[in-house]
Amino acid sequence: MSDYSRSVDRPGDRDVLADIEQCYESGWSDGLPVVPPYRGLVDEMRAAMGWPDGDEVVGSIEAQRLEITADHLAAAAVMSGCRPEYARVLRPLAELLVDPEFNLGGVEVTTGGVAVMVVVSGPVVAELGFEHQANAVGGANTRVNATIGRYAQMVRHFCGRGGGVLATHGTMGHPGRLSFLVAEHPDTAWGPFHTQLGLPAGASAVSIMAAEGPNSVNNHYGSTAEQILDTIADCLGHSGFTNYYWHFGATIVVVGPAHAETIAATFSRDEARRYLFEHTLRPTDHLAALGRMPPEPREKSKVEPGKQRSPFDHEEQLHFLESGAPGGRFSAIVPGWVGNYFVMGKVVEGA
Amino acid sequence: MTEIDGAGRHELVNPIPRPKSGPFTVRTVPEVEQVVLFDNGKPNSMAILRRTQQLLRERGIDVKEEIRGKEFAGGPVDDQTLAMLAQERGLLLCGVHD
Repeated sequence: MSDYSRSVDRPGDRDVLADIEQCYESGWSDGLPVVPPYRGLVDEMRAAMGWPDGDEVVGSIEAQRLEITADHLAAAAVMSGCRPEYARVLRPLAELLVDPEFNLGGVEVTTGGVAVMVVVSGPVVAELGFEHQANAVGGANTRVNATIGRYAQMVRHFCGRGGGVLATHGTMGHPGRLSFLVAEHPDTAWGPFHTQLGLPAGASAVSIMAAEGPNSVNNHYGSTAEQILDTIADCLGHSGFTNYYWHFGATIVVVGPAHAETIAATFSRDEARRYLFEHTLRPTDHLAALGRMPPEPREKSKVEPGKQRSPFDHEEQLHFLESGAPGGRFSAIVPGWVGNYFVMGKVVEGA
Repeated sequence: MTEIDGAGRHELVNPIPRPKSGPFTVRTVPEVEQVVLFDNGKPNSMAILRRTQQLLRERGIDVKEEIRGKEFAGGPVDDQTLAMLAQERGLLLCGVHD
């Protein structure tokens, strides 16, 4: 554990509360109080993240001509309350956030009101003490979950509306726009989450997806895999599910431990994915009658009147994540943003 | 980087990236009396723009036939398209929502 009192330039006799207010007045906040980004704290965090030079450009958002430097990314980590020992997760997370493929600007401006969902999986979950059981999908109330989840939203905000270069048009938004991190159980029935992204099973990883808010799925009395999966499919296949039209977004199904035990007794992960894909179909004409299809659909949305329609173009858009507390028989679904096609992940180095 | 009181050890590091763009010109008045429509790629926007085109023409307003658009609703306008739009001399209307 790092000891700030030894290792960094302390604010000394400064009025820290006044500095917090100064951050608010400068627009350096996600709405909650921040740890003021004192140079000494930022330098220590940046060094831990492996960037010797604060002016190093780590990423850019071309459309806004933004260059995001190591100092920007380290300052946000300090401000969100992260500790330097989280840097091994923060570094790959920061690189994912500013990867042009993730389209951070789009995530910020969309009417979809999505957040950056962060998934942590593999041995790092236990090593850094992530909560992966009680309230794991949100509100876990542990520092490492809350602050790293907050970090991802803060970077998005500072590169967007908070920085004054983009507006945000989220019609509804959701609480995850303040912090949204889910850690997977270190031991899983189907193998680590990140293996679905092609990363090694033995590795630790951090992954991101632009995500709508989670939906709880309750099934306490079903005893078969099919009963549990049918209930999850029903939640995925409701007529208001955003992806029914565009078909582009990924979705994460967070399977609670009791449900995972029941499903995994019968299905492999690929089989369960296939089952969900096949059981979320609705009549296209019914969706159109409800107004879920525009009068003149775009060619790329592949709308076929008279046929059944899944909210997914292909089953690989579905991902399973094993998390949550024992005791209840719940799962959750997290729909992705239709403007992103994928979940992106990187290996977390070190221990 | 911002210094609250000028003391280096009390410096606060600005976390917000700023645009690096050079100077640019904005024309606020069209040079020709023509409306140019741009499709943002949202599901219903082309239908709305086609109807807009029809209504404006019925009122005697010149509207360019071609409606260019973004490749992808969730992303920014690409540089090539942006450069083409910058050459337009009429009134450019874009950004129809869902």
